[in-house]
Amino acid sequence: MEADRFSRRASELDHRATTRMDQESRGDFDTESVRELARLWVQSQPVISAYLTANVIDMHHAEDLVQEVAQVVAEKFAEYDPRRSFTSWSLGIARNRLLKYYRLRARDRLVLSEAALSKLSEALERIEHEAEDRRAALRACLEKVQGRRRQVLEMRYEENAKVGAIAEHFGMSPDGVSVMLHRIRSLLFECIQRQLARSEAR
Amino acid sequence: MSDYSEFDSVLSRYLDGTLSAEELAHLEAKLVGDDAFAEHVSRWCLTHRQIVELLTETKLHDLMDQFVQGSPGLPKGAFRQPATAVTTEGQQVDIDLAGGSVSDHQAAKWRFARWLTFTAAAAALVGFVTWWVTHQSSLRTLGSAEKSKILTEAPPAERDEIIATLTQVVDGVWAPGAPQLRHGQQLSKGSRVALASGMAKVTYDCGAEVVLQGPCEFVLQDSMLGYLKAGRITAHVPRRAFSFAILSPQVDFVDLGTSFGVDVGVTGTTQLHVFEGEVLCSQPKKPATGRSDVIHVLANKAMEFTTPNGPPSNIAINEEQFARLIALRRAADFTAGHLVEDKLALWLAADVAVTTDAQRRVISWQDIVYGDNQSAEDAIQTVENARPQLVADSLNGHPAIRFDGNSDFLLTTPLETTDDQTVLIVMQYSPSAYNKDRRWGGQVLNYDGPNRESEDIQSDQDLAERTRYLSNTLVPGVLQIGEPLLEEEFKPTLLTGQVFAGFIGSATVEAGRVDTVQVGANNPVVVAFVYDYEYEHGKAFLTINGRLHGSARAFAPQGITSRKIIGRHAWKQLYFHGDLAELLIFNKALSPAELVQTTTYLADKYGIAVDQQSN
Repeated sequence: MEADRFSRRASELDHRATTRMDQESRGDFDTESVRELARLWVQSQPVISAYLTANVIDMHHAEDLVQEVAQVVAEKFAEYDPRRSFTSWSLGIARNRLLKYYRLRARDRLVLSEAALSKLSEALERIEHEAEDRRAALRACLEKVQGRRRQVLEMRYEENAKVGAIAEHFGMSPDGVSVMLHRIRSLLFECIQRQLARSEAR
Repeated sequence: MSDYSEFDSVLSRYLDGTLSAEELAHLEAKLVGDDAFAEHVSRWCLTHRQIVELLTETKLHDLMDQFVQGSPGLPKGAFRQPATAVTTEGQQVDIDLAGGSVSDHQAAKWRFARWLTFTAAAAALVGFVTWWVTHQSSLRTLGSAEKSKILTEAPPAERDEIIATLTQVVDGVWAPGAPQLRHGQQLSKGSRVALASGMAKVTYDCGAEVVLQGPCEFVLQDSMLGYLKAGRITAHVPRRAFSFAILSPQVDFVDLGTSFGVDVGVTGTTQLHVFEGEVLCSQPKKPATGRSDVIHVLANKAMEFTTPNGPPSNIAINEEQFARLIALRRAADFTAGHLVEDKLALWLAADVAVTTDAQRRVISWQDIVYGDNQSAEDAIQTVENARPQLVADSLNGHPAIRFDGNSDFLLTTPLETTDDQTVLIVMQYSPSAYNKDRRWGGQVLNYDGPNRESEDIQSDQDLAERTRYLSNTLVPGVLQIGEPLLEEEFKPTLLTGQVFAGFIGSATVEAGRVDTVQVGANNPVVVAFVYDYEYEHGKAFLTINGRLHGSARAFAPQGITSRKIIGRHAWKQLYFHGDLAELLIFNKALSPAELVQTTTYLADKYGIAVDQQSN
């Protein structure tokens, strides 16, 4: 009886139903969808990367997270509702990944609460349209950072060095390095604002 | 635009990870309360990121060119910075990178957009390449030995091997500079748990439970090994974690199926108190013989070690010294009446030992230590928006855990379950189970919990690599209780029990599959699924409120140690819509008398009428 029941079930079950469910959950899609995904990702990637990089001190890990989010976005793209903001949806995925990152690691620094992270992602979405212009302005402003400030910046950003390591390398105090990084960032921020204002005035 | 420059030094320190707790609180309050400030912060974050990208851009372009060399779909040198470029509008513009001109902006936009239109995977490629470039920069400053280490370093999955969970925290204050851990946090190999005060319990995946009392410093060395640097702990080690070891500065302790306490004092004096079973102690090797002495310490005995090579001395056992830690292991202190104790493996009750957050969402549902259930496999959810809700007045006025059918589930620490099983659940479905957009069933209980949290599972390949997903019938089956999963079989609130045993071709193999009836919404029921495994004569059956609803052959083994998922399928997003008041798992098929006894106990407790029909 069991064998009869088994063979009956084998013919009754439509494995394509399971496959269809898998496909929908995996997000298999066609070429047009691929292009649409690429177009949306180009727009959103700057703020998503900014969100993750600012909240993960190790830039290697931040890059890993950006890559993971890109993969999840691609895989779940079939679930994306076009009536909703793609950036908002992707930032939601990024936030979940970030929270998972915090959970999996015994945190060695203080991080923002979930409520603050939500506010930050909403704000990033609002300024998303500024990303390209700000990047172009920053490119020009970075050229003006020279000497030791440039070295400190490169060590922090290119070599992913922490404040303590930078201090030791240059024979400075950690507080001194913190102050220098603050000044560099503030100057760059003000330079960007001036560049943007100049562009608008043209 | 308001001037937030006073906050800029705080923001800068946040980006470098050097903020104090007080500064962070100040920053958070401002961020949450002021949208304009939130935008200011977001511009800082954007600038921070763009500095990374721009400082590595030249190297990135060179590397991307190398990467796509020979690719038929991409033009050669697509990523080199040309002297001139053609915009999408067909204009030829000069590229002046130093000047930051508009033409530079257009060229950058053209290059980036054109590249990404060729493939969706390009997004991941950018991330990988940038990572590689920044990693190369770091390697430049290292010595060869360190470089070699990094280049052969284990991938993230191996570095983050989860071996334990922080299953309880009571008035815990973490030591200065120590990781700030959270209740329910999963702990990887090498994790450090350092308490200034209060207590914490670490449950290893092997089943060993270590309770710490601050001040205390403990390192999770390996899946079967911990290092107590200083302080006081108790360890309860179940049979399956035989040979679990605790190292200390002076002495190593190896468990032989026990419960014991260790105290490493500030002077290094170490005490061992064995409450049950036996512990082997090993001191450093003696210079003369080059061997260590092994000392057996039996139950109700204690020993003190004052010097690394000196002889230990017998001391009086002092359970009182460890009383607070011992008490922490017990989830509740009450009498269960007529509940069967024999082979009880898991007992969760919503009116006992539920830890919630400020919104009464469940962080952990603690396993009640009772009868044979002497190891606590708590059901935990660390993700806030996946936590079910504790509802005070649910099943006939009794508390229950409410699962929203969208995202809520709980995951136990690894629980050893056997081929023979009895599962009893007191539950009711919510009206949302009848939502018209539902096409597939949700699961109440699934034995196929992943090694890590379920969000890791994004595809069948992930599943195959990271869980015990069955690919053939040689692998133990997976007990499942809930609604039928497949679209063509699904009916809301239809209760089904089975042991999923794999595939033959495209057909699923289900042992002991019993389909019952649609129990409806807001209808409390006592569900019992009994699986009595034996290849030829084994039988499974399912009762609702004591009434038998069907039986089937129980021909597949299912004994395994795994995390159990409560409220959803193992990896598919198929959730339970309803309330759970109580869940019991027995590592045996209850006899008819025991089943009646347990069902009657639960039905009486929750005011549910039992069908007295003989089973």
